[in-house]
Amino acid sequence: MRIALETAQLKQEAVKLGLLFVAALAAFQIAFFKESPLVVLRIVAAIFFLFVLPGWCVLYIWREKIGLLERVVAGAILFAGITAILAYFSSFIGIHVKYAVWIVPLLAYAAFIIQLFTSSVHGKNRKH
Amino acid sequence: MKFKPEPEYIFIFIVFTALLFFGLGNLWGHTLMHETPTGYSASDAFQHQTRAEAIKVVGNYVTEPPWIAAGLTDVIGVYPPGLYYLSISLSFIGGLEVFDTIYIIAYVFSILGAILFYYVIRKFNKSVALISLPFGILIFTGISMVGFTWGAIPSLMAQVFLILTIWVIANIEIDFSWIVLGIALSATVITHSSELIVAAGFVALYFILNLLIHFIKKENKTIQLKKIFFGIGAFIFLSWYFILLSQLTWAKLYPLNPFDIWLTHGGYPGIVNLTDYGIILLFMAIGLLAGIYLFWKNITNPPVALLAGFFMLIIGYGNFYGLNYRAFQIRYFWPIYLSVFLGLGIYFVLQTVAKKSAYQAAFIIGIILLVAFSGVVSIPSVPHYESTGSGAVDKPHWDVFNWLKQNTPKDAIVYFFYGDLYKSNAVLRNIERVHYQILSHSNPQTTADFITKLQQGVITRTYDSALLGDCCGADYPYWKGFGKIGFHFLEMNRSSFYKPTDICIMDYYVFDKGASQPAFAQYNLVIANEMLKSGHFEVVYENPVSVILKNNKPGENCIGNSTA
Repeated sequence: MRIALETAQLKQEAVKLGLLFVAALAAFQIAFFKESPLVVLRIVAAIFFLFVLPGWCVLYIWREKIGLLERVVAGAILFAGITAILAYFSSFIGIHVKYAVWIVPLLAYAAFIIQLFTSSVHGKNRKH
Repeated sequence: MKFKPEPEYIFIFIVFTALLFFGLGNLWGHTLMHETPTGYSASDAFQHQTRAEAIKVVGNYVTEPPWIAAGLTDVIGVYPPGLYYLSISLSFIGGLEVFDTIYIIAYVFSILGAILFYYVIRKFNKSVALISLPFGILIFTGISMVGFTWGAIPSLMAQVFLILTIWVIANIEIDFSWIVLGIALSATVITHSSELIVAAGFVALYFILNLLIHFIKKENKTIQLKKIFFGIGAFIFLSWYFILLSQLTWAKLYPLNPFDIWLTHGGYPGIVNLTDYGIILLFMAIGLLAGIYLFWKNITNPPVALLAGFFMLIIGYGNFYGLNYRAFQIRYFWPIYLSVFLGLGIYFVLQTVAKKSAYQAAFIIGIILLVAFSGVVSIPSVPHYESTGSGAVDKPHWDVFNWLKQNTPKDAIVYFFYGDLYKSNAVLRNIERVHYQILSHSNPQTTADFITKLQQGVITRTYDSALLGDCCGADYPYWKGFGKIGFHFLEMNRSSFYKPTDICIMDYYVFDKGASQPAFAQYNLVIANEMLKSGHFEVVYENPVSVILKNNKPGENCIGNSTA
């Protein structure tokens, strides 16, 4: 029952995130109305890939405490911080920044998927 | 699933779009992708752009590249690189140049910071938050906008993380909030160290307040106190290396002096003052007084938005007690921090006339304020957005920099003769080669030498020149031993970088063909012709604004003492 509820909530949030992406596209296209829609799409998609979605993944555990939009905004800023910290320090172990920029958000996605998968397999209630 | 947009979301969307439109949209003529750096009005702005570009090329920021460090190869990368890494990330993934993405990051995250602060205020009062949010548009006009275009963007981005710190303090009771607090503080220090003092001060203030409430009012605040304690632990764990670097360099070079009073922001065109806000200052004063009352009334559970408002107001006056010009940087974001007082002041008045429908009225007032602050409708004495002129590197000069970057050996040394653009000498780092400049506008000695020789009409083999780099911030720090840092700029003597220099030892020379003072450009071309006469120089690149000469025999006489 709990898992079904969580799946439904996840789907609902995913749809809302999709709408948020469309809204962000619209805002950018209005602000930069002389720019090609393809360039706008590229930048908005990059911002979502790098900050918004990983930030949402990280703060998903707070979904019952904080609303979606607030979590998305805070999550994007939080993940920008995580990116800055990890990209900087990973360079000390020889990871070129061009790889770090992919690795950092992908780590967040991977952790989120693993967490979802393990909790649904074991039927655990996530404590938060 | 039915989609029913909430009015609040629509309001936030409108404000976000307006801030993006009037902020970066107007600055960039409503385009996103540019051929050259656009919206750069000072050398500091180029300093950040070129350093980010360098990290993208080199792949890390362990050391400064030689073209940023006057040819030195062991200078430690100590400038807080947070913003650089973010702009590089967006450049790699989004496919735009770093000179564009660094501004996109700074502007978009500033807007997100304003929205996050809205949520901090919302925890206190929803209507106040709605009225407060549009005030944020004023970060993109007047002196506040100078923060963006004159190179204070790392400070502004660090303030976004400072807002995250305030937000997490407002949500400190939630599980794992201490991790977010640790990350927020680390991100602040890694983006601009001085904002950490402010963030740490705010956290300390909240901690002490809760400690007092715990012991004096006997309210249990153990959870809050524990989480702040753990958060600080996480922060130290995440950023100990950078804290250490900052302590050994910045803190040593620029110790805080509580008796140091700053009244002007040296080199910057003015400071933000409360009086800039005109008639709305009245509502802010009402809000401030109401805030003091409400804060005291709710002292056992103090509203974080009000605490942040009071704190940032006092920090903004830190120029009187040792925070020097850093206090002026905090003021750039006053329209965000102090918005709570404007919102509260208007809400206070609103409640007396529309008590039952105050929330609905707050929406309408929010929209009216957005229109008023955006300047769409100009209301006397109400501060509003005004478009700011946009500085840009012209395409021919940008082509010169790119030509040098792409067609010269990595160890080539380039010499720049006079050029109007080169006043912002950090722009020259775009060539990614070690470089000298004949006329360092920041150095009166070299200016005098150049002008004297021009007035006398002589060309000489030596000119007072500047070996350029980001000398004067961290003084070229290097590891001297375990835990010990030395400073090349202090140890080598300033005259090693600013001295009469044999111009014949260089590999490439850039001469501008035009200048605001025509005599400067004419002198340039006379020198260029004199060099060509020597027989071992060739023109390797030329466009309508500049010419590049290559010296095929560096070190050999390229010019005799002659009269122009």
